[in-house]
Amino acid sequence: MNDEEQSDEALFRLFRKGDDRAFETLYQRYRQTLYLFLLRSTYATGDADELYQDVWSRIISAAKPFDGGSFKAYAFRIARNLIIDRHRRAHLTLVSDQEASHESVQPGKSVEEQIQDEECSERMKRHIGQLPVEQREVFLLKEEAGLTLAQIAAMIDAGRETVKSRMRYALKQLRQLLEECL
Amino acid sequence: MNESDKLPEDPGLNRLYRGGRHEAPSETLDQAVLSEARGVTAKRRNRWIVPLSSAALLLLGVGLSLPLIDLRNDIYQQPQSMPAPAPQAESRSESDQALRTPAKAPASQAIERQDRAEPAPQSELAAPPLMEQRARTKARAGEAERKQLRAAPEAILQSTDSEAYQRPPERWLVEIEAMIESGQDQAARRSLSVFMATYPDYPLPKSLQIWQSTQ
Repeated sequence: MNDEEQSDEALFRLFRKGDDRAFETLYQRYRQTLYLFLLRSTYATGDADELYQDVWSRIISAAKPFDGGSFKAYAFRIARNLIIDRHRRAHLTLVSDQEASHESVQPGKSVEEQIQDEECSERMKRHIGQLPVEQREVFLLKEEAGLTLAQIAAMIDAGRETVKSRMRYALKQLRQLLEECL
Repeated sequence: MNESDKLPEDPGLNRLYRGGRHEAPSETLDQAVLSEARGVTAKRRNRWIVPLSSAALLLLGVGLSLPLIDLRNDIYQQPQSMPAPAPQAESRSESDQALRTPAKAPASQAIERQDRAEPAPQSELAAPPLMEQRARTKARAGEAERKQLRAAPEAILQSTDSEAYQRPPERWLVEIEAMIESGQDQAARRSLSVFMATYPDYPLPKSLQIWQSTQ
């Protein structure tokens, strides 16, 4: 079985035994998704690159392999914890649901459909960044990391209904803000 | 999976989100992460080198010291394998024999002793390569010693009184008579005693018997 066919967990185990190529395969699988998760999560601070390197450093130098679960959940948990730490250190005030709901929509001028799509994408990124932290992390863990309800609930240590509720609020706000793009 | 296990979805937002996923980490960032990973894997691989090399050194040390200990035992055991000193009576008889055949006796005894001290060739053949090599060296040394001992009688002959070994008895007696006639009585006496010791059964001429009785 070559590296491409191996599971994430098997690749991680191989890497821990000293297999560089296993790590490269694993890295390629999560390279973009982890980066985008950090980029969207740190829209306000703009230090995704630094966090990205920190996340991989933690994964690389992990003293012990993760106990059970998936590598994906493990990697995104590290990313999430680093984001929280960064927010705490930066004394960032969490944006409340109420404040977010008053965020004004800045409609762009669309000349062509492609340009409009790009503008809509950019607006979406901005609006995701302006979502309350709790809603944003649920939205990104679902859309970017592809984690299930159970995995997200376990990761953020919240009930399933709480997770679903946060997701509903996030979707509702984004839909309202991006109505003309949909 | 039932509906309660699913997160709410919005296909429009999902499509819009997917359409905007263009960003990726820079090449520099990629290289930084990958080189860090390579560094860690190299360390993990190398962590076996120290214990492995220590074990190899230990084995090498044991491997080298065992034959040395064996060699030392051989050296200490060599004198024990030599024959024990002969009893006094036996040594006396040997010395008597030495008087009769003075050149041959010490050399042959030494050769016999050396032969007895030599290890059996069969045991050498059965020995491992290192031991075999060592045994060969020892055998070469023994051979050289034996050659030296075989050559010894000639040296001994040359170092003793040449009168006793280089002339036939008749000629020797004529020379002794000539010494007496020329008045060298002391030299004639000493030469005659050596002659008699060398040829104890050889009959002396009457003239010499008379001269000896007057001395």
